[in-house]
Amino acid sequence: MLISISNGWKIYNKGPQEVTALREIDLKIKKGEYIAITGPSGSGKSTLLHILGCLDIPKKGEYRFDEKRVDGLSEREIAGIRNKRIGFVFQFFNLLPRINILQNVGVPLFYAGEKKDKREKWAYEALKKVDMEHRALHSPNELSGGEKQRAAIARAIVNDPDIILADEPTGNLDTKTGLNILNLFGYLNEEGRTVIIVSHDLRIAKRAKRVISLQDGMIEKQ
Amino acid sequence: MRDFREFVTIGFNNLRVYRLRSTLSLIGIIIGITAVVTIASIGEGSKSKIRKELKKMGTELISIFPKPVYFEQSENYSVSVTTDQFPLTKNDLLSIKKNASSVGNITEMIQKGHELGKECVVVWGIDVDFQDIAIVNVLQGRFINRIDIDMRRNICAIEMNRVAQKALKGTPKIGDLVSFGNRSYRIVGLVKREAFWIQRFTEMMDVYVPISVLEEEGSENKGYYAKAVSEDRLSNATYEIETILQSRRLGKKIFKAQSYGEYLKMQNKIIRVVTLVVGGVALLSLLVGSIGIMNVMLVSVGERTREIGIRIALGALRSDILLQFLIEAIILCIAGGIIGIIVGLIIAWIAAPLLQVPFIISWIVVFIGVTFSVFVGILSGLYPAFKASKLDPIEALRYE
Ligand SMILES: Nc1ncnc2c1ncn2[C@@H]1O[C@H](COP(=O)(O)OP(=O)(O)O)[C@@H](O)[C@H]1O
Ligand SMILES: [Mg+2]
Repeated sequence: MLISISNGWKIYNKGPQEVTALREIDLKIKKGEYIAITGPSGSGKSTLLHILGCLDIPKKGEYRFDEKRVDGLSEREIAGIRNKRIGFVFQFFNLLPRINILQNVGVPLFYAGEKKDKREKWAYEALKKVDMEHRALHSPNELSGGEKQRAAIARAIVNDPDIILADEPTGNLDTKTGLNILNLFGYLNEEGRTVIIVSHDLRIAKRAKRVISLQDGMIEKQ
Repeated sequence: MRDFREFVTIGFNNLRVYRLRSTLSLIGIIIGITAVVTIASIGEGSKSKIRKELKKMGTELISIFPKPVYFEQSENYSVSVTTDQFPLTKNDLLSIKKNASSVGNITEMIQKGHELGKECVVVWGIDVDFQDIAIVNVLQGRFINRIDIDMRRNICAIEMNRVAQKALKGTPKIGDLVSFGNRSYRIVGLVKREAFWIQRFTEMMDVYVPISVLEEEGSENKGYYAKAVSEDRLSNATYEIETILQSRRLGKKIFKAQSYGEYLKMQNKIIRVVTLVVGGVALLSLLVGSIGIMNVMLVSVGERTREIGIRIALGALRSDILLQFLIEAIILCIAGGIIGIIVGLIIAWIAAPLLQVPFIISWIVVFIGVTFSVFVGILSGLYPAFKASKLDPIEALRYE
């Protein structure tokens, strides 16, 4: 089993009121799955995705990645998982503003310890895969939304991760561009990667082989 | 392993984007480093001046004289005039030679001032040990020896310098006669001595004659000069001379032994005190500067919260974030440091002639400037960098 959460809870208690974002989450994900997570706004989709991506740790319960408990791993090991095993794609693209597209795509390679020539070569390869190599030397704010998201996908796959996590990747795109991006995710899944997409886009739910719908922090029974 | 150059590139990138803000934040550092470099350079210059002067004067030399009663001031020189009430005697000399173990050699001499043309001439009546103590090198002919002194020969050796050339209208010839006062001397040698006792403000001509010749004319301005066995025994030697003379004068402190090495070391101490004071001011401005840098870095961390979240999501370690901001602060400070070093050296270059010290660009000065700026960079960058590295990536990614 690639990922398993049992009785996962997430409670935010920073603000004036406690917010239970996730409760009693039981979830198992196998290698190569294509999963859509849906649900209304505030239902805990992003929180769940952050836990799956090892950016966050559930307050209660147990999260195993590759059979290993994540809360037992060192910071270095967790950073390694985020860097090499997981590729993140965000709703607002999250490209770094002051460096060009090629450098943006190369950031995960930098944290993987690669030298500049390799970073540039592999980042360029990744850009080719999403048909963005002609924009390599542009700054992110010179790109359209769809192009930004393609570049972000190139960055997500540059370290050849086996899991792609996307948080409403089409939320800021028009229908046609969104479809384009969805096709890319389909392609990445066909390559054998596990793809997990958070979205209320019905088209995604249709393409995904499995749909998990959240309601008030709980997974609805199918 | 990280490719550390990338941190530097990222740092430069951000500083370029926030050019105006970065430059403004640097003013404090620039002033601080400028001050540090200026005093370091002037300090080095005065140290080298003192070293040179010490060498010229002879560091182990000591002069012994009765405490002056009054000073005689003339246009070109000032001489301390003492009473002849308790003159030093040959027996004093012998006693010092015998009992003062730190004293290498001691000699007596008489100095008389004359004029030759427009130039001032100091006629030195010297004894045999003078050559050893003053380290006299013979350029031509010979120096004054024991027989000259015993026979009271009217001969002289001339210290070769610019003034001598001028007064004698060219290089004098061995065998020529020169006259001072109402006496003529035959030149037997041209010499150059290495050690001087007196810091002169104008150059003078020096002529050496047998002490016995001047003794005939009375013993005004008789002086005693000694040499310590080594430089580090200098203060021992002056102490020994003073105590021996005091015991030989029924406990009265009539004579003072002073070394010019110590005098110059005192000057050095004064410069050091000045350096400390100015250095304190410099440190203060560096502190103020580093608070400015810290402020800018904190603002930068706040503005780039989202970037930090993204980097962590992409696999950055907390130490990567820490290092990135720290290196950025250090680059900022080094940039300020380089400007400060240049400005500081320019100020030192202007100030050095005014302070009568040589202008020196030493690596030590540059090293001090760079070290200080790196230090300030670390000092001011550490807290903001630490704060950045402690951000929760989830919060950082939600940050608008
Ligand atoms: N950092 C946080 N601090 C406090 N509450 C939070 C935080 N992140 C999310 N929440 C709350 O948790 C719930 C789930 O949020 P989220 O996972 O972002 O939902 P979704 O992505 O489905 O819209 C919401 O009620 C939200 O307000
Ligand atoms: Mg969300």
